Amino acid sequence: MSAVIESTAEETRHDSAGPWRAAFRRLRNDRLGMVCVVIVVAYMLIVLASALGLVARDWNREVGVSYANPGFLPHLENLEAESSRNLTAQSKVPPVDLSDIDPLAPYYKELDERTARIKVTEIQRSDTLPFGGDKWGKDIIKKTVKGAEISIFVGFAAALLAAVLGTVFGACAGYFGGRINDLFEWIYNVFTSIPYILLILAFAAVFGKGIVTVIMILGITGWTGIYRLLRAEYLKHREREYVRAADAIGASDMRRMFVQILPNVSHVILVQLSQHVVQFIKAEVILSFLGFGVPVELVSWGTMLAEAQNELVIGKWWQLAAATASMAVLVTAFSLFTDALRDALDPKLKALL
Amino acid sequence: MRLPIRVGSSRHAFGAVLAWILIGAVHGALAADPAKIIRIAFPVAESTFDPLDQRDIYSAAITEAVFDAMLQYDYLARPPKLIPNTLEGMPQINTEGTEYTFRLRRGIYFNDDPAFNGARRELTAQDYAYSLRRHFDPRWRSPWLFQFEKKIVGADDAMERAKKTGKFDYDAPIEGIEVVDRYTLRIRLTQPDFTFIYVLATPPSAAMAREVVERYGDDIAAHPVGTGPFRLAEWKRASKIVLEASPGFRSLRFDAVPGDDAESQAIYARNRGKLLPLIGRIEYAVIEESQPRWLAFVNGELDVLERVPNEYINLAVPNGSLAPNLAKRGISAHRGHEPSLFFTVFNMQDPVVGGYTAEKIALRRAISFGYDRDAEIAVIRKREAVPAEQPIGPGVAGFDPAFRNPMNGYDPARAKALLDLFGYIDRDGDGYRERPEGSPLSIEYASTPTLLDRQYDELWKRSMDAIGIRFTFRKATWPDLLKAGQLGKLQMRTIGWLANIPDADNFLQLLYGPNAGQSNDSRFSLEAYDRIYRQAKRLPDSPERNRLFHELSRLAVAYAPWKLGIYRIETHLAQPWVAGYKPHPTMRSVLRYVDVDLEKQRAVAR
Repeated sequence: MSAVIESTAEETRHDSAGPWRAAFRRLRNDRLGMVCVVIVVAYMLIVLASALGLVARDWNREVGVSYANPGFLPHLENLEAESSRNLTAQSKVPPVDLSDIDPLAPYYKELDERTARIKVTEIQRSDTLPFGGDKWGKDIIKKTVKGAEISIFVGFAAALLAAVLGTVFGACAGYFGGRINDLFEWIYNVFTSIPYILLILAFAAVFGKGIVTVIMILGITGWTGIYRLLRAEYLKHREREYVRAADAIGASDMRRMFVQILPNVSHVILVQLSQHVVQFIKAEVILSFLGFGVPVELVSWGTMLAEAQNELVIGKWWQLAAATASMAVLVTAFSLFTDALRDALDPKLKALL
Repeated sequence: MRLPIRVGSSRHAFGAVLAWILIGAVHGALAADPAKIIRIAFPVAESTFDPLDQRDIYSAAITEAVFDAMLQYDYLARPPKLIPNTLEGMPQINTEGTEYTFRLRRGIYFNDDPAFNGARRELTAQDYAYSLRRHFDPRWRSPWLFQFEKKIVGADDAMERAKKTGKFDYDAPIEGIEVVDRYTLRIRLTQPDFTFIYVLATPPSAAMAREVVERYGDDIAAHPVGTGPFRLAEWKRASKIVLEASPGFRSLRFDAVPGDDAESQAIYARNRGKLLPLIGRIEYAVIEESQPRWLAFVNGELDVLERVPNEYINLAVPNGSLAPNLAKRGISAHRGHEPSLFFTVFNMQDPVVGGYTAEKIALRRAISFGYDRDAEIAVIRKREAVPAEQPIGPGVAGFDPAFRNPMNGYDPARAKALLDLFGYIDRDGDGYRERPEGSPLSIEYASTPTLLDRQYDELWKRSMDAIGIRFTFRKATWPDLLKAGQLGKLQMRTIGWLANIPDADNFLQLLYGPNAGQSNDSRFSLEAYDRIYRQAKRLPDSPERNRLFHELSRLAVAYAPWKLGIYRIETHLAQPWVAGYKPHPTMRSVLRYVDVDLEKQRAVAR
């Protein structure tokens, strides 16, 4: 490949890498598309940094008071934090003596000594955090970054899974036709006849909880759209001359499917893949919002929004704002980027340039 | 999945109308005004309408409104006072305290049902006898059997016979449950029991008609047919329950013994002598999440908000007094401790958290010390709770306000010391401890998939991570958890117990060994505890009994079958047009005494 890219422009016009290069050029000329690319790349860098533990590693630490005010609004009334201060004073009554019946009574002394040796650090909680705190006093910015990591990872992984499933199934159905086609069409019909959210919830009930589960659920339920498109592409392409030529020189079915045809339909997959990333980020949010999503020790935008639904009424808008804003920006940018990508990759547009 | 069920076909509607006209002619009074509607919400779905089987306060609220026990509580008297309900007077008790004679009022009728073949069905002593016997029928697996078991002469033998033959004989006589004549019932106890009479005021003792139970069989939970002030009018499972005033309800007038407080005096002055029920309809909506529940009340779509969700407590009653904007609208707040206790149950038969050896006790105790209850009270419950010190809820006979629990605070250092000392140490360096013999230590905590429970899950997870115990979560709906807990299939779970009897016995029986499979969800079974419990059972409320209760509390604290949680503070709000509402500590539904001021309602609407 590198040799191709280094070759002269004259040669490129006749080279197989030409369409890709042209597509990239078209994409680069699309100013809105490029802005979106920058935004998406920025998100990816943040996700990468968070996954590597460079940022937001300590998102789970409770650094502020309950619903700490944002740094730019330090003087808002915070009744929630008030109520967690001055907890009822310890009773003066001496505790009941259990030593005559307690099976652990022989260990009392040793336990006291061991307890005294274990240090407990008291956390200093601040009244304000840069963009406010949640119920437990966790920093909202760090939480949003960590939430982005989970949400985007889930979105990408699930989209990848759906794309692989959709491509393989679509390729088999479209290429082989006949009984195999019938089989995949039947599976496709079963999956699409069930309302999407119901299907997701059904799988969620069977699989239990966890990140991998969420990815599996979304991937397994989300491949149908890609399958339909790919099947149509393969139906079209298998009769094309270049495929027949390959057949004539003795290329195997697998080679024809995945070496000959696949590169020629890959733009469809790429566009679908990016569309599904957006769709799955939203689906993860819905799942988490409904309580089927990420487990309790993790955070995603969905769980943040679920928490925020109770907070808005008591005037704590920052968690909702942070999660919605970051999600809206990413989803919009990604959608526009997908549009731009489709425009750039669609061979029919070539004639216009 | 079941379809929504509508009770009453058109034929019976006609019968009901006819009955209504007759009653109206006889008593010269009209049934409750159907325009007077109370709308109220449940935070969890109803589990059953069978009074024998109900275990949650929501199902209890329905069964109390639909069925009649022989006794009930005075609406306004505090502390709770028993009064006759379907009886002519309080039961006669013989001098030994073992024989109770009940005389029923005549002319009390069941609501119409196809099971009665179109005839009016009068309530008789036989119905109470039948309902008591049902608890001994192994077929129904009564969760309230413990309230009757080994107390009524001959009843346990009948149960044993039924276990052998596979069928309970309802026609065979039981010495302790004697129907003297159509309106007289006599109950003989094996020994004096001073709390038994309270049991007869709870829904599990309410009268059911044998024809109805036999007609619907296992589906009886969906067919509540009682003699109470309300009957089921409409039902969409886990979504909406509508009760309407029973057209044939007996002539019963509002009466009570008001306390000295202005509130109950005013209620008494306003409603005394009026025919009950005062309202024509109750609409229960199941609204699981707290935000829509709160907003529905604030927007006037609910008339009463029972147990204001903690998230909104600072909007409703900041610093303990009603918010000015709500007060301006005429909304009233009712605050106080209910006789309730929240605790986390360890399954004592579980191989990991259960057991009576020092190392198992140490694990449970460490979990108790490690759980950050202070944060629960401050952050989740917003101080609508205080730490529970003993396995007894406040405000009941036998509660000891001076009892201070030495194993109660949040003390992660002590938790770690306990775990270290008994060999629960991290051997593979993954940050989580292993069990003393080296296998992984992982504890499964059961909760519902609601937002509310997610907060507790977060807190448990954080607390247990801090002391190195791996925690996982099992998610199921509330009714499923209730069943699984009763069957001993859960490892750990937090529940609240709201006393249905104003006596400490009602809490302490939760740990009595033979009650496993019924109310003893932890399946705790300790010989010393059971012995003292039986001893206390024979005594009336007295210093001697309190001393035994103190021992029971100490044993429960030492063996830690529960992590004692909190005593909840309850806040209920009512709209300005809701008249005469006053929550009762042991009655789950007071709506038969509540009125709607239609003029005020119209005025507010304008």
